[in-house]
Amino acid sequence: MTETNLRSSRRAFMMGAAASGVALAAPRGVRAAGNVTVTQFIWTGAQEPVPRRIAEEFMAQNPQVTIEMIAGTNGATYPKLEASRDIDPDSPLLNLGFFNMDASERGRARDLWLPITAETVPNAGHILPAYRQADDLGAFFCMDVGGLAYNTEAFDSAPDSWEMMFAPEFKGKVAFFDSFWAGNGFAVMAHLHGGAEAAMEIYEKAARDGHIHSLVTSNAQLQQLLVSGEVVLAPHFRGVVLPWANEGAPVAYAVPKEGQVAFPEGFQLVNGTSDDQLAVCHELLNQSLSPENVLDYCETACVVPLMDNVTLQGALAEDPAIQPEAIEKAIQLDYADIAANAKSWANEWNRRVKANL
Amino acid sequence: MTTADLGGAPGRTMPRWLRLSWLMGPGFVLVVLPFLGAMIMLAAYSLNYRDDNGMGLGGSIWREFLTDPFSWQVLWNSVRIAGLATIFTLIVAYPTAAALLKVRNRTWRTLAYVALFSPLLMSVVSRSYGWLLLLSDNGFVNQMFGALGLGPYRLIFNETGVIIAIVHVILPYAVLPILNIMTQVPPIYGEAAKDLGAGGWALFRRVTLPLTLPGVIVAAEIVFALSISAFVTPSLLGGGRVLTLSRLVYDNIGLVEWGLAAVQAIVLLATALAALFVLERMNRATHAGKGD
Repeated sequence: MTETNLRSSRRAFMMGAAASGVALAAPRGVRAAGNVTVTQFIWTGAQEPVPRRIAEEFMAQNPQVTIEMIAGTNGATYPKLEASRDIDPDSPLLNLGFFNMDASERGRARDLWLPITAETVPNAGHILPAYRQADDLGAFFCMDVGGLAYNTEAFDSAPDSWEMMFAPEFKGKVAFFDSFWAGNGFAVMAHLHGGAEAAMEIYEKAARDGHIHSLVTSNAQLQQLLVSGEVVLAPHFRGVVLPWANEGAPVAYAVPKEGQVAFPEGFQLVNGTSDDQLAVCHELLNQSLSPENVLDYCETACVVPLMDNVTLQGALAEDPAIQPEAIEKAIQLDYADIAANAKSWANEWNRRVKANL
Repeated sequence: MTTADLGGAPGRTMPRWLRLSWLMGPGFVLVVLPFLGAMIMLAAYSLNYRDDNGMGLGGSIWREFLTDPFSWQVLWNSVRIAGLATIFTLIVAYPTAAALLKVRNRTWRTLAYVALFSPLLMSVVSRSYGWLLLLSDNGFVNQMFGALGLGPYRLIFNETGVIIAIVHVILPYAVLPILNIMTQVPPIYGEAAKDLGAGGWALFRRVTLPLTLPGVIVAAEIVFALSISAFVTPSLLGGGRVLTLSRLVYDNIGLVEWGLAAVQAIVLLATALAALFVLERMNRATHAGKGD
């Protein structure tokens, strides 16, 4: 298929899908009485445009509904959400939003979520069985994968192992996210080396040896370091690194031979949401989980769909990082365990890693 | 002032307490009440603990914090970095204020003020990323060093970068009180000292500095209080190497450890207040020395 044909067929598919989506959504409408305002939490960057578009379309179809947006990170928003529920359980900070598994597991322990079932949100029934959540607490419809981000000018061939993060030749040239266990390689090293204590020893030794260039707290920091070549290697997510590479930066994403980290992402519906708001949230979730919207989101955010009625098209579909065997081989982290140990790990991390940098 | 002055009935005087309430009310509602409310909340959180048996009330979080050497190490780090930032800020602010005092041309003075206050006109995040670009190994500053055959030096992701960025943003807060007191020093004092044979250094050391010291101390109070609670700059420019109490507060809020975060926030506030108390005592001593 030529590039033109590919674009043409994709456009035709999108137009057809969008039209069918509108046709499906229009007659349903929202049966809430009176004006209803719901607050949706979305992520920033490449994950932002599609939810905003869907919300605009939803409000156009349902003039009595106002959707307010909170854009940010799980790290910053989750504590505020939990605090708002502590203050008033019936007035949460937000009603629905995007959460990763780490925040989801923490919320599960605090009774923060409501179920998202196929009865109330029919499109949720298309989520792959392996990624459905216990008690339907969450609709995890897509997944990013974590591997190695590297500066292409510093490597003759792509790094192929998680262990390369600690290879002596990269001393002082490796950066990690600070206290982000699923994203900074810590949980992977714990998985590969038999536990958190072993992983902590590896990071502690690296800190003492001057192996770690820095601990970063944002994507922008890591991007600047990788692009400038000050840092040549860092664990990070494909969905973040690919847009950098697509913009022409000398960075790339590599799949470690031990397997990538599976990082499911999706919606949570917040406990304490009123019945009127729930009716709106169910409709909005259903619209967000329509095949065309999920496909648009996955293409925009460079993530993998986890629904039986959505398939990536074109070059994205051919990326080796998301081929079935690569996904099958992905390391499935125990996010409940990560959530349960986050405090003690942070404590040890501060004392043994950060204090020795 | 009478009620007539305020547009009330002529001949009737508003009680003093009522007048004071009118004047102080908005400030009290906007500043004092939220502060007191926040302190009460923090105190309550710091005494609430949660363990495997549920929640309870007690001093276990305080005990955990105060008996942990790591807590003291981080507190000392915070005080040391704030102290260094204060010293370097004053070293830069004093001559800056003196120079501003001497600028007579209105246009140049306006431009100087704009340059001085420019750090406050942009968000702390944008400013920090600007410093990342300037001070990184391949950044502008190291390129300049490279042109001179020096470096590259690690200027970022350590205390050096954090202190440079803090000094940059809090400089205006230090310049203003120093400049204010400099304008109150009658020029005749300097002229008299010169007539009596004082050289430049002696004039500064024995006349100008003692007379402007109260402004310097006020500047130090403001700068120290802002530096010890700085969070974004150490987080973005510290690269994980700069452990401060404000960062631990943020981390613990992220972990939903409200109790420990509250204890750390109270300790941070108490430390800042203790430093302000010492500086204020110094300030009074300088006034007493002048017979006030």
